[in-house]
Amino acid sequence: MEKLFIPADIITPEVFFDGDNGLLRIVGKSYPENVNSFYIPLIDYIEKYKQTPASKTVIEFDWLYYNTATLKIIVKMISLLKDDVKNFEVQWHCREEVELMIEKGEELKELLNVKMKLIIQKS
Amino acid sequence: MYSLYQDFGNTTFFVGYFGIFTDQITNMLIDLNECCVSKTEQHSKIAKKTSFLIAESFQNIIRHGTVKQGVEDMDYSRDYFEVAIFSDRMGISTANVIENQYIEDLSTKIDYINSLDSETLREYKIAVLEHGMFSDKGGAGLGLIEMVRKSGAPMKKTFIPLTSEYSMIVLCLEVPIGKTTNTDVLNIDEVVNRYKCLVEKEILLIYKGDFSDESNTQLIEMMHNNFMKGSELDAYKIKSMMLIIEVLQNVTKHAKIIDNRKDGLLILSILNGELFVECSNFVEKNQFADFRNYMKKLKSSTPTEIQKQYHEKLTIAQQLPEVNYGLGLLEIARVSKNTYSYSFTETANNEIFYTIKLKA
Repeated sequence: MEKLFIPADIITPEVFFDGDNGLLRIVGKSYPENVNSFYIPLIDYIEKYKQTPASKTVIEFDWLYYNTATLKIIVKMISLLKDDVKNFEVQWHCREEVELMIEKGEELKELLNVKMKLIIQKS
Repeated sequence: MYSLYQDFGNTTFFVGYFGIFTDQITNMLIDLNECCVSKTEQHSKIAKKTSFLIAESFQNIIRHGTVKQGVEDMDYSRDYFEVAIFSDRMGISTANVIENQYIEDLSTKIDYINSLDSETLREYKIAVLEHGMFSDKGGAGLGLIEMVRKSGAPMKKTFIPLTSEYSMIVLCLEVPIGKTTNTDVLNIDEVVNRYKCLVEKEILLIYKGDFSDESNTQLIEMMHNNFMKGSELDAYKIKSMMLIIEVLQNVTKHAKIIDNRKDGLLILSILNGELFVECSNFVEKNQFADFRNYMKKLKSSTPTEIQKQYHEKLTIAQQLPEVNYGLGLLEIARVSKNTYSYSFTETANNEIFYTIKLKA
């Protein structure tokens, strides 16, 4: 499966999807009002990936901040993978002092009932 | 808030800014101005000219920002930049601290430049270029000459004394738009009064204009840069950024379109070290009753109820991410711990003016 790399832009994050190795990584900030134009190719990639997934799948989020429109896409991406891909894990990166982002990770873990590792970076 | 909006009633675009002064912010202000200004052909013609003037004025503050020993805590010692666009002209004004020893020389220079007609001013510029007269801060008066040349109107100036060593210098440029021939309309006393009023309200940024995706991006990035600590965003300001984004995008999504614009007013202020966000826009009359009821219900909800609604919306998002009604407001309510306030004002011309205020 082809890798997908999208560099970060002002309002959108950096994306690195490596289907062969089961790694889907999104880093940075995301606040487009219309999320579809940026995220539909990512959703399409995930849909395709689900057909022949790697033995282990990790979706990594390392957010600076995001808007609620992006949050819905995060939920959508996790939901697409969690029931259909074996050995699936979400890795939620956040800085120790950013309590809000830690809470967001914990909340999603509970709400979506998904295996999630909170990776808290100490300052 | 509506009375403040009315104070800017004759402007189609206004930015008043007290934050950090860097090259990055210069570019954001230029982009903000261009995305708002270039909507009409008449305005797009002056967009380049005004971009230059914004850059020069802003650079003047960056370049000549004085070490403010002994005046940093004084009320009227905050660097300030504003752009105001009226139907027939644009005004660009700055305020920054200057050492009193330079006032006489600078005043003489500005008076002299103002007294020259366009051809003589061009010749003077060439003479300055050829013969130098560089200041120890890298300026040769060229910036001032170019600003007056490009604006096509005299530069206004006034000084606010601070101490025996320092004063504030307020400079005001006007750029006529279209066929206007009257080039001496903007009143610098009004700029000074506005500066003092905004300082007293401890404002960091005030923006009146169209709330488009593009203008939102520039405003958000300006705040992002103001909240930076070194090369990183201050961790404690991440919550503020998320709230500012939701508030701005809420306006863009739901504001009433009047004359092809989603007009509104945004004020960011820092009171006792805490950031406050205040944002207003007009709402459609036929949606007003539903919206008011929704706000009333949301405001009276307990944190548990808000949490429940929020989770329900997110659960729906698993299947239908395009359904978004109310998620932004729920996020504002949650993150601000329901400490926001809101109001609706019916205006004289029967419009509904909505305001939300919160501590970010």
